[in-house]
Formats: sequence, structure tokens, C-alpha cells
Amino acid sequence: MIEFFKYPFLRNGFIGAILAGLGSSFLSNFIILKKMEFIGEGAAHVAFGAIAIALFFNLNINVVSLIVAIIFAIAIHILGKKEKVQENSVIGMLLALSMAIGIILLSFKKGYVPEIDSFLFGDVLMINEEDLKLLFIFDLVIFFYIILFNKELKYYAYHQKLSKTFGVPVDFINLSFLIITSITIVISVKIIGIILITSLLITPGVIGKLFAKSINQMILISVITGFLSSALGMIASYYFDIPSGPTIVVTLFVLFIISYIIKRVLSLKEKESL
Amino acid sequence: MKNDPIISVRNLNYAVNNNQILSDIFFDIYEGEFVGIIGPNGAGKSTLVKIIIGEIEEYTGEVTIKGKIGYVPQTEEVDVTFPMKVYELVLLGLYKDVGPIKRFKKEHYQKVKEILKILNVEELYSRQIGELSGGEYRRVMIARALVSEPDILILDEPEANIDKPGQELLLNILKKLKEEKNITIILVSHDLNMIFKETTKILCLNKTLHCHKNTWDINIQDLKNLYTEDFQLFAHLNGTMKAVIDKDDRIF
Repeated sequence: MIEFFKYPFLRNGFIGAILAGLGSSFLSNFIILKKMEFIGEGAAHVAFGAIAIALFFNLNINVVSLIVAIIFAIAIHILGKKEKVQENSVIGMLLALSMAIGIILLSFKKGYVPEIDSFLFGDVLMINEEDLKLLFIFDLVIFFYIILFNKELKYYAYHQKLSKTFGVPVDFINLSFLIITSITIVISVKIIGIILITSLLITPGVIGKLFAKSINQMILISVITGFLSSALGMIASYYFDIPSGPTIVVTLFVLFIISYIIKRVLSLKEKESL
Repeated sequence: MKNDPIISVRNLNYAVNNNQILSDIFFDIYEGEFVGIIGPNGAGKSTLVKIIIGEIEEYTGEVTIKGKIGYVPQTEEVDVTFPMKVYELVLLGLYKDVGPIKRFKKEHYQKVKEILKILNVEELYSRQIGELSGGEYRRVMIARALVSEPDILILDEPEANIDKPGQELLLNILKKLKEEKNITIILVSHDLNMIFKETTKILCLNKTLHCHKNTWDINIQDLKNLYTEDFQLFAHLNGTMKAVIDKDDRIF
């Protein structure tokens, strides 16, 4: 373990993975309850376009990613409000568009582009201090956002239209949630990769929902799951010398299987005792 | 009693993609009235209700509401595995009293307890919503509508999904509310039996308002006109309606 923290890049990777895991697992609760699992996929692919734009014009990747994430969130919010267009269709279209722009821009760049590899599979070696700061700030934003708007998020996830008639500011919640989620995804993509980020945005919430009797219980369980899977995944990836992103994903799935079995056993026992 | 109307609708029109759902609707509802809205399927009854409660905003015309509305929707598509307890769902009815960011207070939880007691379902307070039966869920919906002590209670087909004893109970609750609190009630229903037995006024709706009369003055011709495009439904309603029709074609 000590050896693990001796190298700054490993330490950064470890902290980065945990920060990404915490932020994503907080959000996963509402993504699961709102049944908007596709947003993870969408924003992660949009991040590809952002990285390509940044590389092509020699701009800061984080800054471009933030701007693109906000534009993406606002577009889903506005277009998704129109009855004729489904939110998921908007995400699907923007996802492909962003990938297309990314691929076109990168075709002008000669040679090997390491950022793209890390984008696909995640690379802890790519994490720098700036990324960590950004992740940390966003974890704090998410934490206070969920504390402050706890009941609004709950009713929004439960039934958006109905909650609106009871005066819940669902439009504000929808837009702010989309922005925060998109930003979290685009800044986490570098660490665990495009294909794998979705698992951190889904599995912790799924595990939480298995056991929880209230939203706050669900959040607690999912955040512990996110923390554990990131930490265990990083340690395992170091000791077995395997890629970190996929290891986190496999750890998450193992946690899900264990939770599912525990849940089954518990409900069987409950039935027996009745 | 007839001062200003509590609900006033003037020249209301609503269309979706050039398909006119509601045309030229005018009516007033006064405090303490028990109003039934009837009409065939697709007549725009639920749409009218959604405009009154503010869920649909893209209409033209004037809709003036003077008072707090409690609304019980026809159905509520929910995820039965959503981790939420009954009291949390009823608290939603008090959201406007608290507003964003602030937390619900002791008095709000107390109000939830009281309303569940009035509806005879106090034991549901800490139950998971996924564990409720159809009838129990409907009563929780009614509790949520009533907890804010509304001046107007709107129920959209409350008879759906509940058995006969459940319906009786619901009617008794409504009567009690009317007597004790003089609450204005709007009842959208296919159950003409219930409508004719309980309401004081009826709006006959089929895209436009066919009649707007005291319940006593509604006659069988009004119903025939209303259900003209839906003979089968009318026959069905007429068959199940145990009302007596007198020599002037009025309905008891």
C-alpha cells in the first residue's frame, strides 16, 4: 500500500478514481430513478467531440469539455421539453454528431494521439493536479446540490409532471441536474474511459435501490459502493497489473452480484418468517 | 352565495397539431358547488382538468381560479420500487407551503397524520408506496390532494381501479368534506349513477360544452346529445344507471 502512494501518478490516479466514483455514484441514484441511463453514454461520447476540438485548436481540454457539457445539457433540456421529441432521441443525435465532429477533426491530426486512447479506456496516468481539483470541486457541488435540493430531486425523480402541478420547480431541477451530470461525466471520462463511465453512473444506484427504503438510504448505499469499487478496483489493477478502468467496472459488477444474492436471500427469509 | 365564481372559464380553446381538443368553453363554478363533468371517451374531460390545475399552459382564453386546488389524477404511472414512504408522497401536497431548499417541519408531518386519519388509512403512514394496493394508493392520492386544505378538490375518475365498497367509502369522505368544510368539488366520472346522486351541477363536455345545468335539470335528451358519437358507451352507461327517469325525461 505504501509503495502505492510513493509515486505521484499512482496517488493521483487513486484519488482521481475515488473522486470520480463518489461524484458518479451520487448522481447514479437519480439517473436510475428517473430512468435516464442513456445520459451517461451520451455525455461521455460528447466528451469525445470536446477532446477532439481541444486537441485540434490546441485549447485546454477541461475548459472545452466544460463548455461542451453545458451546451449539451441545455440542448437536451430545451429540445426534450417539446412533446414531439423524446429526451433520449436528442441525446442519441447529439452523441453521434459529437463523435462525427471528433473523428473529422482528428483525421487532420497526424500520428498517434494518446488522449484518444485514454478517452476510450481511461488512463490514470493522464490525471494531473488540475483534473483532481476540478473533480474535487464538482464532488462538493454535487454533495451540496443533493443536500439542498433533496426533496425537489426526490419528487422530480418520482414524477416530473405531477410534481410540477404541486409547485416543485422541476424545470430548474431538470436543467441543473443535466448540467451537473454532463460536467461530471466529461471530466471523469479521462479517468475511466467512455465505455466504462456508464457503469459508475448506473451500478451504484442499482445496488442502492435493491436495499433502500428511502432516497437517502439509497444515496448512502450507492456512495459507499462507488467508493469501494473505485478503491478496490485501483488497488487490484495495481497488484495484478491490469488496466484500472475495466478493473473498477468488474469490481462494481461483482459488488452488484453479491448484493443481488444477499437481497434474494433476505427476501426469501422474509417470506419464510411470514 | 353567488358572489364571484371560484373558477371562471372564458372562451377556452385548446388544440394540439391543428386537432381541436376543446373549443369555445365558457362556465363558472361557485364556492361550495359539487360539479360533475361527464362526456364520452376522448371528450377532453381530463384535458380540461389539466388546464384548470395548470398542467397544460398552451391554451387560449381565460381561466381564473380563486383558491387553492387539490387534484387527484386519473392514474399515476409510478415505479413501485421507488424507495419512498406514504408520508413523503402526501407531503408533496404541502410543497407550496414550504418551497425550495427548506425542510418540512413537524407541523407538516402532523397534518399528514391527520389527513390519513380522516381517510381511515393512518396505518399506511410509514408504508412503502410499492406495497400499497390500488385502492390504498388512490386514498393516498386523495390525502395528498387534501392535505393542503384546498378550497377546490378535483377528482378525475376516482372510481377507476377501486371496488364498490371503496367507491362508497370515497363518496362518504367527499360528502363529509363538503358538509364540514364547504369545499368545492369537481368530479370527472363515467359513473353517471354517482354523478346524478351526488352532484349539484353538471357540465356535459364533448370537445365543447353541450350543457351546463343544475343536476336536477339534466334530462335524457342532454345525455343522448352528449353521447351521440358513442352509442355503445351511452347504452352501457344507461344500462348500469339505475336512475329513474320521470315523465319530463328528468333523471333522479
